[in-house]
Amino acid sequence: MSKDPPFEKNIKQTLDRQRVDPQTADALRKARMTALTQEPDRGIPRWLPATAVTCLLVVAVLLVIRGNTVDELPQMAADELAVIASEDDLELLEDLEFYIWFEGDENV
Amino acid sequence: MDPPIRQALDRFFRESEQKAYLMTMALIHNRDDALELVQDSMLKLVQKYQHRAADEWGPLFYRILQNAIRDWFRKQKFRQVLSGLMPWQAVDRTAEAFEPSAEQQLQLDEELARVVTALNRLPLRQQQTFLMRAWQEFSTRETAFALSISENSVKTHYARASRQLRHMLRDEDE
Repeated sequence: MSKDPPFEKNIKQTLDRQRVDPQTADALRKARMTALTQEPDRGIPRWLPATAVTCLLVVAVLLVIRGNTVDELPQMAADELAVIASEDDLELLEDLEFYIWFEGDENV
Repeated sequence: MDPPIRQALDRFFRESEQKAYLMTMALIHNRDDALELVQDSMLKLVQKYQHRAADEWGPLFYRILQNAIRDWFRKQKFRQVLSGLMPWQAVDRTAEAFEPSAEQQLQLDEELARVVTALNRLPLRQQQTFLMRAWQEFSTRETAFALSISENSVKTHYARASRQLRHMLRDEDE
């Protein structure tokens, strides 16, 4: 007595009858050939280059900002030093109220 | 690439590529996208897993492919949501996606068409599980690995898929 093949087996046999058209078979062959020319990943994650570029940009921006700040500070310090170094100017600053009063008085 | 590995991979792809494509087509119904997904999966297998044992390539290849199919469905879902929000940008790919070409239609004999139609009525996870287990003849363990689900889930999906397919195909016979 013959026993019917299992239901799943029947479906498998039916699905196995599918054939791809020649154009698709050719596209798959080309896909295979392309894949077989690939070299293995060397363990460098794909996100690494993008992250490296981002880090470089951040560092560059920070350097530019810091560079500007460093340029300004000595400039201010130099002005202040010039004022402090000059005794006359220092005296002028000390007597500033007097000169303002004097100027005002002269205008009167 | 080492020549022995290249030969072994070539053999593996020759044996797998058409079934992988047909399985993808059965799920997504879009020729160009199915070809692209299969090609991408081949590339990833070669790039990442060529040095693994040859008997691991099958489950790995189908895992990559099934992940790609899952991403494809996510993108489709996103496009649907987007086209709902911006109807003027909607692209109707329904006809392209679900109508088999005349050439494909000729290749599908009647019984095959019935099976494919019944399969298409199943939820995606059941389709995937059934195709892996019944067509690809993967074990429960291999199927679980390829679909990134538990073995118990595979058993459940497979049992439900088989029951529904029996029901649908038997109803058509009566």
